[in-house]
Amino acid sequence: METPIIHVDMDAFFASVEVRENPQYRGKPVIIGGDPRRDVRSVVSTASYEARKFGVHSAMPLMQAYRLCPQGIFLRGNMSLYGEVSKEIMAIFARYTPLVEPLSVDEAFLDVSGCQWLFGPPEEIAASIQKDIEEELELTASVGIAPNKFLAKLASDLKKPRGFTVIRPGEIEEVLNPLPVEKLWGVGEKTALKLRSMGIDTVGQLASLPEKLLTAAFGKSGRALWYLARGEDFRAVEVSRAAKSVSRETTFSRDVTDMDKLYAVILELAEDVATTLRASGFLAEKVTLKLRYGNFETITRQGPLPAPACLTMPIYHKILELLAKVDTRGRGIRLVGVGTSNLINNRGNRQLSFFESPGLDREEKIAEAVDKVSARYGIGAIKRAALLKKDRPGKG
Amino acid sequence: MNILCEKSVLAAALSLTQRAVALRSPLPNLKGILLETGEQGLILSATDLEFGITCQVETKVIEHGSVVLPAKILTEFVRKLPEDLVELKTNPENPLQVHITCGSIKFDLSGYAPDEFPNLPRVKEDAISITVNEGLLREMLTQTEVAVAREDTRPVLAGLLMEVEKTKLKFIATDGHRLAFRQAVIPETQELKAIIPGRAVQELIKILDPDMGEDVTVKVDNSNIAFDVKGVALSSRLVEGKYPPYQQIIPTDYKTAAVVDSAELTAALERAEILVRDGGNNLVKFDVGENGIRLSAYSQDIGSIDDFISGGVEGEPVEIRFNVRLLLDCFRNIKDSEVNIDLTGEFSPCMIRPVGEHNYLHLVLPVRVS
Repeated sequence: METPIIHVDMDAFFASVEVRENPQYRGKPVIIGGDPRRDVRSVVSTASYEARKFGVHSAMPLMQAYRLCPQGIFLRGNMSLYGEVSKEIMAIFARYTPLVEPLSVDEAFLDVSGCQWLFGPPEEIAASIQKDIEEELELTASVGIAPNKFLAKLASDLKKPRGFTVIRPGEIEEVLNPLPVEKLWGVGEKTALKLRSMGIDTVGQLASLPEKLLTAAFGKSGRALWYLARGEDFRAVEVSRAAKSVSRETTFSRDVTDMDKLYAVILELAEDVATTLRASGFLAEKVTLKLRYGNFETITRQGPLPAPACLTMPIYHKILELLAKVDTRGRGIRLVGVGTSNLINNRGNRQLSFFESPGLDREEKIAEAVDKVSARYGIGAIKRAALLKKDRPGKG
Repeated sequence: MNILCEKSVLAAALSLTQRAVALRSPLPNLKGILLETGEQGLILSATDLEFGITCQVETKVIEHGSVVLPAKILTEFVRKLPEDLVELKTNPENPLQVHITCGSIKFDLSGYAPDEFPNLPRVKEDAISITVNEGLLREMLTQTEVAVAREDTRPVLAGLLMEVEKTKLKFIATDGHRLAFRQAVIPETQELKAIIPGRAVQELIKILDPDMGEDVTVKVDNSNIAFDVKGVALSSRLVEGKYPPYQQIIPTDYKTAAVVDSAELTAALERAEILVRDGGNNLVKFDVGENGIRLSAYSQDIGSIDDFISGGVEGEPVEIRFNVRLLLDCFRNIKDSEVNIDLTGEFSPCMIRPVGEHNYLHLVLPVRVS
């Protein structure tokens, strides 16, 4: 293979970490997503393979999972622990190649074209990564090895858990052709429906169409589809996938009409977003407010910040300004989200501005100190006074 | 309506007026130019409701009337006509259709009803009126317009502040990173403050002739401004809001003062810009020392530049970094031979003034390198 790409995907990652930390859960259906009696509107984020036997899968409403598997062990999940484990996994990848592109906390692409003389052929590298993860972290992963990213990801998904799938250049058609079109990147419900109406169900049928027909039907993305259906994907492994936006949102267990409560949650989300911006060394130029009403109608409003910011308050104030222009009267709010975009690197140079508030340096120092405390004692160890009230027992 | 006009005159008037047309408006009327006949000839008007231009040209009027014609197509068509007399005549059966004739060329163009054409921004009868020399006004606007904010984070900053205080006419602009200030003496009049939208300023600069000694009349009321330049009237709504107190930003003291040749420094900045503009940082470093300014720039992929501009320096030596583009925007508009550069440390604004000049100053904030 000219550029062998390995895709590593952890098996039921969050659930497996919980099982490792709590051996009493081993062999039992573990479902991460929340407490089905309290978090009535949450969804399943991960289900262990034991839980999947009951028909539980990720993105399923938690209530439904509970109905299918009432004996399951339901957990809220511990994101900071998963984050730690994720770092350990990425560190294992880095032993073999510097060309690692993380896709999320538990999966990544590895370009091993340059390191075969050191570690042997891609199959050997993938096998030893799988072994390292299992021995050192007591977790399992599935791997896919193929000539490009699309096929490697497809391969790792073909067999799970502990999968080890290789797609060689000569086998591409054989593997791809029988697959349903939904397996292609970028084919969602709508595209699939349109393809079906054209009489196309499988990737093989799609690949046999003339390119022109697809571009006529789907525009630019038709061309991309045509290439993918032939197993061609020219994207390289990108080591630093620069973040394009940082956002947080929360779904309420009951629709919110109390504006004060909404403001408090927005402050919390803004704080979270600002912390992430600082940790990754970015300043945001734009903010986005996302609101979902009780009837699922969802709106977003975007606006520029007066100056690029990585602090809570400027983001919070701009979001409130955007919120003030939205009609919220008497309408229950189901979800609120705070997003930032147009990120610029803060680690480099900074053009000074006349209108930065004079206390900015002080604010930045406070934020830096808070970040240090949080890093040592955990997120939430230090909080804004405005956010304390609701955690006090018997109140809120 | 029936008029006869030289092609070159009509083409010039159309290309001038169409600057105010709202080409992307959903209202077809706004995409048009209003043509009316007056005492002296043809009057052309266009507006996007915020901003308007009225232009008067001498033509032979055979029959009075008015019509609104689609701006883009009319302007382009007339521009491509041969140099000859052009006749515009409305169809007697359908007053919204115009026959345009030029030699053997005939063009029938459909238009819109003139009575549905919106009013242009207009100043009230009791507006304050001042007169300024055309060349001077153009220089003042050019020197300050560069600092008008291009983004609309704060709407007032996307405008140019105009102030009249006793015998002083002042223009001020700042986008937060730099500030430009220019003033001139005018006959004493009523005090006023107005924020002119950046777009109107840019259009006005294009109309004004740098070498003309004619007077421009400026009329301002609470919500509109109008400029009258030799038969061309440009009017605009003002930006609402309060301009930040810019006086507080202008330093009154400095720790380092340098005097250098402005052409020499501008040339050095232009050379440095070639190097850094592709590097993405646009950064130049000034080492202001005893005998002048050492200017250096560096781009990882391309290379580095080192330059020295000799001059007189008083006070503490200082090392300071700037976005080269902000400095060039200022220096390209300085015609004087020598400039004062006053500094108060590496994170404070740099004040640039032509030597002996109290009517123009430019502040540029530095870049902080971490």
